[in-house]
Amino acid sequence: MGVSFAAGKVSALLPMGVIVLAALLLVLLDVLWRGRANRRLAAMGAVAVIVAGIAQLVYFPRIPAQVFSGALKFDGFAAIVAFAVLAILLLTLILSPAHVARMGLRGGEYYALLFLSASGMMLLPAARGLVSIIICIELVSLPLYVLAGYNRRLAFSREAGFKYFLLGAFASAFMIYGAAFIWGTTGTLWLSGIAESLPSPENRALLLLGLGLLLVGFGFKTALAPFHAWVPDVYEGSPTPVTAFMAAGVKLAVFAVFLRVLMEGMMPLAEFWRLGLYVLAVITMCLGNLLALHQMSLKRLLAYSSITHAGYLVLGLVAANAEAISAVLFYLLAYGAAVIGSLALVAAWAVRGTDDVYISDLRGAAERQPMAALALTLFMLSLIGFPITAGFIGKVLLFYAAYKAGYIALLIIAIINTMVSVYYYLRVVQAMYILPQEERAKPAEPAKSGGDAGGALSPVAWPYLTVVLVSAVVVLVLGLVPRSLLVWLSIYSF
Amino acid sequence: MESIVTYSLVLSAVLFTMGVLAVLVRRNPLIMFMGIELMLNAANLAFIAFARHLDKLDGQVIALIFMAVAAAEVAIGLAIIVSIYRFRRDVDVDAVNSLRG
Repeated sequence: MGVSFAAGKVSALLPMGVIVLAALLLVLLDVLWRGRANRRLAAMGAVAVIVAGIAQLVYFPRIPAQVFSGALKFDGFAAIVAFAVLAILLLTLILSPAHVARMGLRGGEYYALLFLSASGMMLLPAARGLVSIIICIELVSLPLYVLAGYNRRLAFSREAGFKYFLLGAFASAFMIYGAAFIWGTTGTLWLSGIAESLPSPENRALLLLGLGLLLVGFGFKTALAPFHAWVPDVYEGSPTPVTAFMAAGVKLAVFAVFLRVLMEGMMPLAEFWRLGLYVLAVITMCLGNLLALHQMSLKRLLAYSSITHAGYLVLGLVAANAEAISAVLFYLLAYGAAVIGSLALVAAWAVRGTDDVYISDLRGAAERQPMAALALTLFMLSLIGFPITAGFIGKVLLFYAAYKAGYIALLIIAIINTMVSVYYYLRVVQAMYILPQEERAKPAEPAKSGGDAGGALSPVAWPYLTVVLVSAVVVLVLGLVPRSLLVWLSIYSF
Repeated sequence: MESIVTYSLVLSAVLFTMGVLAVLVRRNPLIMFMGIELMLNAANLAFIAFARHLDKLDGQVIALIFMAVAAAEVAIGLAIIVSIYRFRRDVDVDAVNSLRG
């Protein structure tokens, strides 16, 4: 390859460019408007997201476009992930102004940081070299460290930011050290180059060390079980819209690129990483489920459930066949819709001092707010993988991919775990529909009730309602007519 | 492998291990943070040692790029630690534990 450098089709970068420009513009506008124009900033941001979406549609990479000597290669897969990231960003923007105001947070850098992180998520699935992948992961993570700790008055949130930062940086160091060994043994960091220039089987010790370190790094970023300890704290402590953004967006982007690293760069080493991921998947699914069983806080429950879902997704990585690509992507989208919807309801019902909802708070919700309760039930059913919801189709696709690759034992463990998970998801539904409303003992919650009438859940304001509605529609449409999405996923898989 | 390359790699492994231990064992955020820096620099050292071994300049360029990444991380990390410190005088990780398990 030598020193030749070709910028390539830079037009493919336009959507990300719009998002980055919007981030810079929002910082400027925030200064001009003296930090008081929360809603206006969000509205400007929403316009930018729509412009970026149109740009993505116009410059849809039907033929894969290489940019910067192949450091980024935009194809249909990357474009689909980019669309999803834009949708997630838009939903987060709708959620944010009301929530930011209610939590008494200030500042427009909140929106700018969201945009910067989203630009990283859009670039990530297009990255084709370990250098660009690591830089994109940093671009996703660095703004999120700040956002996680954004609710500075809350000790929880400061702690979340700090823990997320420490473990995130720890993970990055593992990835970079792993990349060093991979480069040292193959002489390249391009994914396609690694697969071509593997050393002979007897000289692979250092390469396997590098692969192991890289897997540990990815394990931290995707919250696989021995490396999951930060997830519950960060999910609980972060402002709820940020939690939604992280749960849906980071998972989507990092799993997309993880799949790509393994399938494009490391396929000849499959026997090694398959074994490693197999073990991680089993531990992740079981541990995530066990720890979720007794959670009282809804955000924490969703955090542990996100660990479990990461375990299911690893099934797709272990399978690593043609079916797995579209299955993993479909599962991520289905999961994202359900988790954003549930977190929107958490945000809507959150008490000011805690930014969280406890399961005991949900008692009697079905009577007072039947629609919201119904929506939350729908999201919980989707997370379980109940038929007619998106989660069901996602699980079927994922399990089918694992079955075709011949991992029957893993499949059985996953199915058992799904059945166990029914218990804690239905506990939420039970609290809303069956448990009586009196004896409202709330030991874990401080006495001050900021603005909620008579101690009951506050009514769901329209921004939250919009997000809940959109998520519910996505969950139902993907559940009832999955072909609508699967067609695209199968055309544009890599 | 040239002996200088081997020595550098061993040194980088030692540095990396020290960094990991610092993060896992020490409780002061600044020391933990230094541990992470140690890990990142161990990685850069490994890149440079391999650049010598493979006789390719790429490794040094990559090390420079990751130095920039590490610098960005330092900026964010110190800001976060300072913002915690402003609310509580002590910065001890064991004291930052209202969220548990």
